[in-house]
Amino acid sequence: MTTTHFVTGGTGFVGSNLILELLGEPGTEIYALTRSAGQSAETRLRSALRHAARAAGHEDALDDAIAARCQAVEGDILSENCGVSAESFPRPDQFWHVAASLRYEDRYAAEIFRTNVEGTRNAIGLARSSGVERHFNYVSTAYVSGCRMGTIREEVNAGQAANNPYEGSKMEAEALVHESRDLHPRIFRPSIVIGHSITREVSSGFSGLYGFIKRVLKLRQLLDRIQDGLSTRAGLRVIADPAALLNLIPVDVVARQMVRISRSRSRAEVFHITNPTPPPAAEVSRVIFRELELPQPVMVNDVTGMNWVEQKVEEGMGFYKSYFRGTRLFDRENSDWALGVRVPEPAYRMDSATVAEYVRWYADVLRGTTDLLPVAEAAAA
Amino acid sequence: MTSKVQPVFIVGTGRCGSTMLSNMIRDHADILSVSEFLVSVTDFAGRIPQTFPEGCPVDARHVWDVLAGFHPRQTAMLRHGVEMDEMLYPLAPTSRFNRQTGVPAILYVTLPHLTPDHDALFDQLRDYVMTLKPDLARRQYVRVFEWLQARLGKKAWVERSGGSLRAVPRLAKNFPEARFIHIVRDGRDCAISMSKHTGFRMMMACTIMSQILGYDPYDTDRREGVEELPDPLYNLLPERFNGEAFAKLDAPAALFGHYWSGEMMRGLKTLAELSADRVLTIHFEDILAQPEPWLRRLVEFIDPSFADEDWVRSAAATIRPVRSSWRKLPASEQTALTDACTPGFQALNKYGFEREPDAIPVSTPLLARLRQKVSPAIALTKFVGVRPALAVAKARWGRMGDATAPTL
Repeated sequence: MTTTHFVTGGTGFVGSNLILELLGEPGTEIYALTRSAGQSAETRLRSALRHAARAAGHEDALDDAIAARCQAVEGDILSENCGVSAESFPRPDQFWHVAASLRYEDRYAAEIFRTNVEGTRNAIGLARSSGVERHFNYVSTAYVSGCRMGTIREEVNAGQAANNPYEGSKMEAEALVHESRDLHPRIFRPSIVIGHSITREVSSGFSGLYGFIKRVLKLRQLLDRIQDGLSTRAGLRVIADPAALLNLIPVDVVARQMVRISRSRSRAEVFHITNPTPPPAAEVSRVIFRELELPQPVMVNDVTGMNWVEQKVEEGMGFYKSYFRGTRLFDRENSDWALGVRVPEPAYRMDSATVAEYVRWYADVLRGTTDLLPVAEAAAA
Repeated sequence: MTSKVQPVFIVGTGRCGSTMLSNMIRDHADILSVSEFLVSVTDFAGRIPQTFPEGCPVDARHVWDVLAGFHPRQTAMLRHGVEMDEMLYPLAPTSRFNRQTGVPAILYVTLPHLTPDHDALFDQLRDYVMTLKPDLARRQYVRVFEWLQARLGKKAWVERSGGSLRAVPRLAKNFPEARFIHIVRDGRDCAISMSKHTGFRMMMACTIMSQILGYDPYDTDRREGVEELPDPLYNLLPERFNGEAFAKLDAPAALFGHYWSGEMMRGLKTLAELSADRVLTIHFEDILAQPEPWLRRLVEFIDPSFADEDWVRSAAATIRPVRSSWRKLPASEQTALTDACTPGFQALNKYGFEREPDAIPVSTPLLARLRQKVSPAIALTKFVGVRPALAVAKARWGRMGDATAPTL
């Protein structure tokens, strides 16, 4: 029997891996809302999916399935009903809204809310007009927890303050989804999504942890450009909460758990897609500094006595500060019940060695692709 | 007329008293003072590849584009009223160029520094440059300097640009016969001055932006990755630049202290590799304390035949007292600034360019020169205090078995 899924954000990191997971079930057909941007929508979608398959270690094994069972539906979530006629694709059994803006700076607030809130409104409109009944699956973020700390339950948001426009937009989008009772919504809240659990690779969209790694690398390069070797002499102090945990979860685990939950008999609405045994944030910081050839930072409680370089590092943490400080324990009662899980999957335990592999992979990507200004040119600049 | 005097560049980290030297030299009968040429035509070092294209000849049009272009960083600053104080071109309503049109690079300082008839000289220079046949860039610039030299009745040229110490490797390569006058000032005073100077602030902002983006946004229309710029720098992109955002840019003295140290470490290493007869080091504080002997030494270095006691006396009379500003900072900021400048001080010691307070140029009697050899430790006390300086002295002379220089 054919199962049909409609997906937005299918060319993105989480969305493409979701589609690969859905393809794992024989007879599944996927229709993916895709913009045409310099290329046809079909070309963009297939390119993104093939790239994701290779990053997941499948090489070309899924190419035929992608060609045969994935179709692009040209449209845009910023348009009413995503600019798509519901007659242009079969009635889906499940609708997946993954597309989102991952920007977070205040100056992009309008764009973030337009994409994440209006985009969700438009996706809901398309889902309704397509006739989907169960379920409308919305990929949100665990960090709609905002400023809350401690145990975070899989509940509809209770008015907590957001740390940044991204979190605020996801809170508003969840409210829209929650109100769409006719679509039997499910809200998936992944934590910090990282590369594949086996290959460590990321196929697109280096956000979250990768944004932080890149920022630390850029800082090191900037310090050395201002003064040769300054990064190794700086001896940085960074503010870190010794109790904080950094909830990292590989993208294939996210996709696998969301799809399994979607096939379950669970009647719950909110599901944390999070790591039940996250590593300490301070340890992740130490691994990142070590892999980027920086001296190990000294963890402190506040900015007292920080020199200029350290103050800039603290400011540069910006968006990422809230994820490295404070303790959030994401309760997984709904997810675990739906998955039938009693113990965490061993494949994605995040010890220091594993974190180092992820960091090392991305550092190699950065060294190969970042336009590093050579010191000689910098010296003349 | 081809100069028989080998080219001389006055180099320094910037905010070190080099402009004072340019102004003095301008009044010497035989020396053409080429002021801020390199910094202007390279647009605060943002257009070095265009100014010194590697290995390929440049034609007259290219040379003129370098000299007379309306370069992006300077133009942005000019339009938003934050141009460098050193700018000499008069921005009057009747001026040929203004904030809206921009000012050609060589008219910012170089030509107005030489004559009030700078616009006429600019046109005459263009007519000359357009006669140039294709040749390596460095040779074209020497022709320009020599044309100016002949035009103004001088016998030799000396170029000086702020912050040019970092350009010494490129200058030494492009002008292998060149000699260098390196003016040094206490890094802490340099850093404080840099943090307030629009040119250095712009340079630092562009450095940080280009390092974050991986490209210079003033040199290209590329804008990928701009979301990674923090708001203060995002508002300094050329299409968004405004004076208010520039004024608010956080560029403290400690940052420039690190920068100064980096410049000293790199620049002194290169200078130390040149033969001793190609480098004259002058400390700003020494010129203030004993101007006439040092001005004699300066001119002697450029060419002994340029000795002119009248010039020495009149140049010395132009010197005004300059008070050191770093000691007025709160104690914590003094410490931070000293820490940031310490690698630079150590580089001065390492390469033998440290200041000796009683130093008197070699053209003075033997007894005076002996005095300068006696107490190098006293020089260090100016920077780091008595105890560390004594430790260095001990290390130098092997007394008391302390062979390790202190960590400052």
